[in-house]
Amino acid sequence: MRTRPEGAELVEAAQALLRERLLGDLPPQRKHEALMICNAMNIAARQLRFGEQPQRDELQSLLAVLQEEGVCLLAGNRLLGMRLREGFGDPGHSSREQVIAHLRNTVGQAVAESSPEYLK
Amino acid sequence: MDAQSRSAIEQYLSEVGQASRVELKLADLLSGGAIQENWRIDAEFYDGPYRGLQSLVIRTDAPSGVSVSHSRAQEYALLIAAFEAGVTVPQPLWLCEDRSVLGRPFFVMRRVEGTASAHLIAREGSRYGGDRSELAERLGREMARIHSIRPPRQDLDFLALYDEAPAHYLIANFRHFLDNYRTPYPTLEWGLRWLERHAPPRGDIALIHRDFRTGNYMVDESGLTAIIDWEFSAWSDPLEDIGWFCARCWRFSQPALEAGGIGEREDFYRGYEVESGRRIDRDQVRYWEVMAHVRWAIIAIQQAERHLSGEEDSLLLALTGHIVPKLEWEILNMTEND
Repeated sequence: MRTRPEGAELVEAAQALLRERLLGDLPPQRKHEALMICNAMNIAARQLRFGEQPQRDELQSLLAVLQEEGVCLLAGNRLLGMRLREGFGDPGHSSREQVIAHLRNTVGQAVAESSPEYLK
Repeated sequence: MDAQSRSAIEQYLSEVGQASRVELKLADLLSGGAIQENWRIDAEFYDGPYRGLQSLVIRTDAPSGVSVSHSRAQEYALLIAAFEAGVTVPQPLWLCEDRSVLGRPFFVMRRVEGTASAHLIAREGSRYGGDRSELAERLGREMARIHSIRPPRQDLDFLALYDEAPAHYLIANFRHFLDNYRTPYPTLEWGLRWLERHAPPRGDIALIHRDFRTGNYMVDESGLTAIIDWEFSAWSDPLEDIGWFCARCWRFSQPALEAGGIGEREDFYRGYEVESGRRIDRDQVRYWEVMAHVRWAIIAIQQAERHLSGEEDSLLLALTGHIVPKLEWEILNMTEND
C-alpha cells in the first residue's frame, strides 16, 4: 500500500501552504512566480486525482468513433485528425454528431484538469 | 546592466547621437517579453542634437525566441513604417547590428510611459486607459493606420508575399506544423477543417500587426500611449488583426467586452471604419476569431514544446501548454453548428 497522504493530497497541501503562508510576504515579481507555482501544483493535483481513467475513456470513445480496434491513443488521435481533415466530421457526414460528442468530452476533461474555473 | 554593457552603450549612443559624451543614469531590465529583452535607459547627452536627458528603451533579443518572430532589424523597419504611417508607436531612433556592442543586435527607441499589463488594463474599474469607449475607438483608428501600409514595400521585403488567400496560407502552415509534431490535436484539425470550408477568398492585403491585443499596447491613466511588440507583423487580410483583437481568448477577465476585453466591439469598429473609410464585414470577423483561437493554440503548443524539449526550462512555457484546452473548447463552441 502506498503511504498516505499520496501525491495529490501532498501537492494540494504544499500549494495551500505556499498560498496561505508565503504568498503575502513576497514582492510583486516573486508573487507572480509563486502564483504560477500554485497553478502548476493545482493542475498536477487534479491530474493525479483523475488518474488514468479519463484516458481509458477517451480511447474507448475514440475507437467507437473510428470504428477501429487495437489502436493506441496516440495513433488513434492522429488517425482521427487525418480523417477530420478529409471531411469525416463535415455537415451531413453520418459520424458528425458522434465526433462532436467525442471532442466535447475529451476537451471538457482536459479543461477540467487544466482550467476548471473556465467552465463555471 | 553590467558595467561593460553600460560602457558599450554609452560609447554607441555618443556616436549615433553625435555627442562628445553620454552617461547612463539608469539602465534597468523591464519586465515582460519571452522573445526579446527591453532595457529602460535614461541617458544624459552632454552635447549634440540630443543634448539633455533622454528617456529611451533598448530592445534586444532574449536568450530564447519563437522562430517565426522577426529579427530586431526587421522589427525596427516595421516600427519606422508604422511611425511614418501615423501609428502611435515609440519613436524609433537607431538600429545597431554590430554585435561587438552588446553581443546581439538591438535598436533604440524613445521611451513611452504607461503600462501594457493586460491584467491591469482589463481589470474592472481599472484606472488605466481612460474612457473605455474612447480607447476602443482609438485602437480601431490605430489599427486602420497600420492597415494603410500596403505591399509591395522595399523596406519590408523580408515579409512573405504569397498568391493564395491568407486564410488558406495560414491553414496550410498550421497543418504543416501539426503533421510534423509528435502529438496529434484532433480538435485543432476539426477547427482547421471548418476554417478551410469557410475560407474567404483573397481580398485586400495589408500590413497586419498580428499580435494586436490588450497586452501589446500601452496606456496611461488618460488613454493610449503606444502600440508595441511588432515581431509577428506580416502581410495578410486586415480582418485577421480584427479577429485577433476581438477573439474571446484575448479578453482576459472581461469576456463580455468584446473589443480586447476593454470596450464594445462597435466602438472599436467605428474608429476603424472612420479612419480607413471602409466598412468591416461583421460576419467575416467571426471567421477570423476562429482562426485566432487556432493560431494561439498552435503558438501555445510551440511555447510548451520549448520546455518539453529541454530547450528552455521554464514554468511559464510549461503552463502555456495548459491554455490549449480552453482554446479548443472555444473552437468547438464557435464551429459545431455549421
